[in-house]
This record gives sequence, C-alpha cells and structure tokens, in this order.
Amino acid sequence: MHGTVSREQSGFRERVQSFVNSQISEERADALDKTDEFPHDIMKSMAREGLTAVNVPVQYGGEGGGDLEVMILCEELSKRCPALSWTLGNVILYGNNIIGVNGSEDQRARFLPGLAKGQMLFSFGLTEPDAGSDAANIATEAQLNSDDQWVVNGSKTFITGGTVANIVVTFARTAPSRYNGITAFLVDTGHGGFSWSKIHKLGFRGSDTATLYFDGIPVAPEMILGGPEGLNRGWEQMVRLLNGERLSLSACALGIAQAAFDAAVKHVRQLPPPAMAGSRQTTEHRLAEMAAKLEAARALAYHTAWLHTNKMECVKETSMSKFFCSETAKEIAAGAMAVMGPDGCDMALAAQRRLRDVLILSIGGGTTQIQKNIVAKTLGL
Amino acid sequence: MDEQLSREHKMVLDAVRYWQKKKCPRTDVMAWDENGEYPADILESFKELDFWAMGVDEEYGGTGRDLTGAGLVVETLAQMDPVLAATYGGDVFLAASEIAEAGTDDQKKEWLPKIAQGSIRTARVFPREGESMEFIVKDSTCILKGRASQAASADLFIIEAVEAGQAPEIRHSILVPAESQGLILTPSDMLGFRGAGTAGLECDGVKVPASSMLGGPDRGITAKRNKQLRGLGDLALAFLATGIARGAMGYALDHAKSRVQFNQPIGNFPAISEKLVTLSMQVRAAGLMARSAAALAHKGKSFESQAAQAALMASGAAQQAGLDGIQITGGYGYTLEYDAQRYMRNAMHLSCAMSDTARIRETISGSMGL
Repeated sequence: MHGTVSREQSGFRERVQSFVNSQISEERADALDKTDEFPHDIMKSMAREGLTAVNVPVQYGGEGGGDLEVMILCEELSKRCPALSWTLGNVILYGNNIIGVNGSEDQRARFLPGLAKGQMLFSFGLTEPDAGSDAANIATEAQLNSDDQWVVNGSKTFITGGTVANIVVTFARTAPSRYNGITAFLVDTGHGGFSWSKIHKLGFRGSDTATLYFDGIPVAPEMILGGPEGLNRGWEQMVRLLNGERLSLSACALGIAQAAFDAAVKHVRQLPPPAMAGSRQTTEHRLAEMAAKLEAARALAYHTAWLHTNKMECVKETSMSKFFCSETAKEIAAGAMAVMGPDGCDMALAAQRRLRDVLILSIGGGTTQIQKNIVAKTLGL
Repeated sequence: MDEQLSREHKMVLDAVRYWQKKKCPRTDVMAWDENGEYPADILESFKELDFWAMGVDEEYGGTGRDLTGAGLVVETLAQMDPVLAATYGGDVFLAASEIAEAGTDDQKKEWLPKIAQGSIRTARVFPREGESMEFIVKDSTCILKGRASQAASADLFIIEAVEAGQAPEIRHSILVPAESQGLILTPSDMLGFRGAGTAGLECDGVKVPASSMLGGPDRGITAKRNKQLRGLGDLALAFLATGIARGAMGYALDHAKSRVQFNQPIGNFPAISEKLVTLSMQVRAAGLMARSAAALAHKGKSFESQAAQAALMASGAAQQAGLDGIQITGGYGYTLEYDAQRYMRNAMHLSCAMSDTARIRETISGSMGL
C-alpha cells in the first residue's frame, strides 16, 4: 500500500482483519458501546492472538514491530470497534511504547514481558482539570520524603483506562521550571492512596476514562520513568512519544472514516432506482468527495509513518496527519449519516456511533487547533 | 435579534424565556434526554401561556394564525429543549394549518379547538421513499395498510396515504386517532430528540370513518396544498434548527469565556473566536431567513422557496454549531455531564431526519426556473 508498507506488514494487516472478523462481531461492538464496560474478555483474546506483543522487542518476548504495525492495528480495529484500539492502547501505547522508548533497562526487563502477554495495563496520566491543551500547567506534585521516596499528590482527568490500569505513568511537578520541572512516575494503582471516578463519555465507550486521585502515594526513585536519572525529564520523555501517538490516532480516524464511507455506499447501492436518471447526482458526488478525501488522508498518514519509521524529521507531518485525518474522518462520518437519512441516527445502526466516536479524535492527543499551532511553528511563523 | 420584532412578538419571546427559565432548568432537560422521557407535566404548565392558540383562527378558539409568533416560540424552546419545540411546532405549523386549509367544517370544528388549547398532541406522518401506505374505501370506511418509519408519539396522526390502485401522485391525508385498532407503534432508539417518542408506525388494516379523510373522500392533496404543506414543514424546521444552533452556540460561548488555558480564556484565541464569529453569522442569517419566510406566509404570499432556503441554512448552522460546540468545549464537552453533546446529537438527528433534502433543494431550484 502506497509503497510504504512491507509485505510482512500487509500480512500483519490481514492477520488483524481475520482476528476482527472472527472475534469481534458487530453485535459485540454495539454491546460495548451500550454497556460502557471495559472488555476484559476481548483483551484476553487480543493477547492470545499476540496483538499485545506487536511492538515489544523480540528479546522481551514480543514481535519486534513498531509504530507502523501499531497504526495498522488501530486502523483495522477502528473499522469495527474504535474503542478497542484504545483499550489495547493501555498495553501497546501506554505500556509497550512508553517503557520501550523511555524506560530504564530494569524497567524494560521488569514490565515488557508481562505487557507482551497482556498481563498488565498502563495508563498515561498527563491531563489535569486545568491542564488540557496547556499540558505543562500541571499542578500534581511529588516531593521527596525523609525515606528518599517521592510522594505524589494531586489528580488527573480524562485518563484512558484509568479504572483498570495497574500502573499509571503520572506526570508530576518536581521543580518550578515549566518544562524541566516535570517528572513521570510509574505509580502502582494498588496503593491505598489511589482512587478513581469513571467519566461517562459520548463515544469510545468501553475504553474506561476516569478522573484519578493521588493522595500521598510514595514512589521509589527507581520507579521514575527511565530510572532515577529521569528526574525532571518527563516533558522531553513525553515529547518523544508524540509522533507515535499522533500516528496511531490518525489511524483510528482512518478506520472510522473507512467504515463510515463503506456503510454509506452500501446504503445508496441498496436504494430503489431513482425515479429520474441522474437525480441522485448530489449524493453520488458527495460520496465521490468522501472517497477522494479519505484517500488523501490515508496517503498523508502512511507517508508520515514511513518518515517516522525511517527516523526522519516529521513533527510537521505527524501534526498535519493528526488534524487532517481526524477532521476528514469527522466530515466523512457526518456526511455518511446525512447520506443514510433517518437510518443515520438510528441507535440500532453503527453510523451514529462512528460520529460519536470520531469526535474525540480532534480533541484528544492534542486538539486540531494545537496541531495547527505546531505546523505553523514548523513553517517559521 | 429581538430588535426587529413587534411589541407583541417581544412579549411572546419574554413569556417563553421566563417560563423556560423557571420550568426547564438545564439539569432537568438533560435528565429527560437521558431517560428518553417526555415531560408531559411541564408541557401542561406551558399550555397555560396559550401559545397553541396562535396556530388557529378565532372562530375555532384561537387567537388568529401567527406563524412568526409561533416560530419564535419554536426557536426559543429549541434553544433548551427541541423535543418540546418540535411537539409545539408540529401541532401549530402542520396539523392546525393543514386542517384549517383542507379540512371540512366538521373536521375543523372537531379538531381545531383542541389544537388551540394544546389538549391533543398531533403527528404528521410522511412515508419515506420506498415505504408504502395505502388505503381503500369500503362501505363508508377507510381502511389503511402500510408502514412509515418516522413517526412520533401522538393522540392524533395525520397519515399521508395513496388509494390502492391509484397513481402514487394522488395522495390523501387521513386523520387517525392513536387508539385506532390496528395502529401499531414500535419505538425507535434514536440519537437525538429522545423523549419525542420516535417510532415506526404500522397500519395493519386500521379502520376509520371515510369522513376522517381530510377534506372528504373526494379531496386529495392537491399540488398547491402539497407545496404549501411542505413549505410549512420547512418553516417549522427552520425555526427549530435555528433554536438548536443558537442554544449550542450560546453554550460553547459561555465555555469559551470561562475556560482558561495559557493564562487566558480560550475565547481570546482566534482559532476559537473565529468559530464563534462564523456561527453567530450563520445563526443570525438562519433566524432572519425563517422570520422573513414566516412573514411572507402570513401575508398569504408565496413563501415556500424562502422557507426551504431557511431550513437548509438553519439545519447547516445547527450541525456546525453542534460539532463546533464539542470541539470548543473539548474533553469536557465530550462527557455526558456536559450539554454540548446533547446539542450535537439533536442537530445531527435533525439533519438526518431531513431525508428529503433533494425535495427541499428542488423547491428552491424550481423557484429559479431550473
């Protein structure tokens, strides 16, 4: 595809498609949306299939893939059930990727084998009530106590998988510097000072999102991300993850858009012939525009992934991809509903769910407006 | 937007706003939405304001038909609760108008006073493309058979149907009380307008007297009446969508003023303020277009094309305001605790329900000789 995906990666896509078709029915996707309960059963199936190991290095029991495989996985899961790309993200993004990219050797050895087997869940604790787009404005803090333990106090919100995570990668202020005073701690949620309250969302239901509370939780220096030398380096560690995160969110958008587009085309094909030849031109042209935009979005995202995989500078491209894919997918999901008429807003059909799901993709992981700020900066503006 | 209104219409607006503030607090409206609940008790208190009378002539118990006044009621109600707005709008713009225009004297005497008091809830049923609703007349009884997917809970249905064996262009409106045997409603779970009781309607040999055919058995829906009826539907839609758009925009605007990021309200950033500026233009244009079309209709002039334009402008504004409202309110707007998502759902529902946008566009292109 687009000359950017290897034969092995195409084979991996087929493997994921086969898994989705055999293990995740439309009914199960619908039930996940209705019940809004974390799908532990599907997570086990994904682990059995090896999907939790996709981006873990071979020496830690993984398949040795990278961000492109993660994209393929997110795109294919999102065609059927986008929330699963986020629940799996509690392993492959917030676990495998964070530890793989930023963890110390001890942390890799300690966590990656279990993550690869799907035995652990990680969450990414950055956002706070007053630190959304202004992410560096965090108020959660950690102070060193007399036992040389860092004690974390504060709260985080909109944390994906926050109700089920074993470890929350928690960004806390450890020095006054806006960017160089932030440290990422691997907080064990088994501690009594940890609690959460679930947030009920419009879409991506089943990927438990929560507000988290940290009340005097002690963390050993070895559990600073990257080890003791990771102190005050949380921001730069986070920045290293951004390209991969933006690409995986782009892929979620592509999956939703493709499914929305396919459903709209199917709907029109099934309509009785128009009373007058050519009278359906408006709808046909609308679908033609959707097809073109979807193709353009996919080309941008996978080209960017190729740059990223080949270690080329691509901050501009990942931000472009993130906002272009999510905004295009939003337009396609809404357009598909309009094409389908009243069926588009029938809760028994998936069209409306795709719009509910896609709307978070232009907000989470950096809003469209923040991505455009970044692109403008790379243009020297 | 209030500056061009007459004194009477300003009083109407003030009354609706005052009632809404007292009886429709946001938390209650959100709970009705979540539970799919129709707030019948609340609506009873609204009836005391006597606004249904604006849809009916004085001789049938109304205060004289005033589409601008009724439109203002729809728009204002829709800013907070489009379900109440749609209930009122359907009764006044569709049922009252159609019965007044096409009904026999007996039909007018039977139904219009009830509509003027708001004592019955009506629903106009238009079968969609591919759906069939037929009737036969036998021994002074009209027997209906068929399905329509888009109906709402009501006491009286006005069902559009074709006489079996006749050309599909010749349609009749038939008054069918909800308690009629063979009339089956299957509730649908929909994205928006929860509480409206959206349902599939099936007529399985429903029998009503032939005198229930609007205007009598020999009077089908003429081309002129069909055009006018669709025009009134578009007009109601325009006011309804304008109200949703205005409500969604107002909600996002409040958030943009109060949410602080990077040490300032996010509304200070052009990326946010530009969205609100554009929405404010779209909403104002939609509202003015709806009022202009209503004024034409009130004067008995051709208004259908203007109403169609207003409906398209307003539904586009509502959709944009719904989607932008979530983007502006960000992660908070994506949670069910915030109201941005309800505006978006209702706006999208309205856009989808306008399944005959092709017909609306043809109304406009036809008026331009295309």
